[in-house]
Amino acid sequence: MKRNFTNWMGSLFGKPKQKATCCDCIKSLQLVVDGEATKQQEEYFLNHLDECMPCYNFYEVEKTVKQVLQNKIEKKSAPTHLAENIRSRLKSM
Amino acid sequence: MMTEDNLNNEEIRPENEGHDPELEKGSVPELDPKAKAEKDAQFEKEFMPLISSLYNFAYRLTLDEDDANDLVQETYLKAYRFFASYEQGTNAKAWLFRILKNSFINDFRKKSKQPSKVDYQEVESFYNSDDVDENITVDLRIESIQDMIGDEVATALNALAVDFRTIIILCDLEGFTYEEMAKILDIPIGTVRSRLHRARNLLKEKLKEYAGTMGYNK
Ligand SMILES: [Zn+2]
Repeated sequence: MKRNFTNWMGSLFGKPKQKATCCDCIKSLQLVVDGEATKQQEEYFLNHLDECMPCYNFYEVEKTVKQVLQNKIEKKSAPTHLAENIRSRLKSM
Repeated sequence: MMTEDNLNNEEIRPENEGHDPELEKGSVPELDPKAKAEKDAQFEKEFMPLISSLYNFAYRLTLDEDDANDLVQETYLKAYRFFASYEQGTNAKAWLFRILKNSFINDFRKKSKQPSKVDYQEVESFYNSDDVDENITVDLRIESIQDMIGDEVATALNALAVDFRTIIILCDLEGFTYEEMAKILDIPIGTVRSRLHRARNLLKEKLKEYAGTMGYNK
């Protein structure tokens, strides 16, 4: 069951029919944002951004969401007693 | 409990891990003190530096500090039992995350009253329905995301079903590759991609809700 990327892309910007050519880009977008795209995919996609405002906007949103997740969510540190508890359990194993 | 010096535990393959969480404590072969000291030093060096990453993952899964402590402890004990099967220089972090995630699913979810697995079918149809599509991130502005504080972002993340939360944590907070996530979660890379995609859309929905209530989206 595949998502209809075109419809969905279109719905993002309220012009479903107009964005029909951007299917492939949307698939690359996630790969580019996650650093999983090939050089070729990335180059193609980044070039496309110069020509396509919706893809550009969408890319910026995706990138920002990722950055915000990386930078703003507090990284919980393990409480100090936890490592000690574990070490003492291991000692007796 | 075995009493002989027994270094023959290479037979325990890593695949066992996760499938038999209830392994007896006694299945760890007893080593002579010198061998155990070596093993412990190696374990300390390879695995203990990862404790905060594991704790953070456990906390984001359980949303409870005590539960996170238990889960991390269980993960380390399990890893210790199978340490002989661990190949040095391989991805210790991914291996520990896998053990932790399996412990969470196998033992933990049963005990706690977490909602059960996401109904992907339901989620899928949710996304395929046109009327809902209209709402997805339509006016989620970059500025409104950037203005949010960490707590708001965390709350949005925590509101996601655990499978969606998990994939975002692994990818965006911990920086695992798709291939590593596929191994940690035991799913094909294609599923990693589609689940990530859905998870992010759900997250953006939540962020948008917050942006709306906080008045960021004016
Ligand atoms: Zn485009």
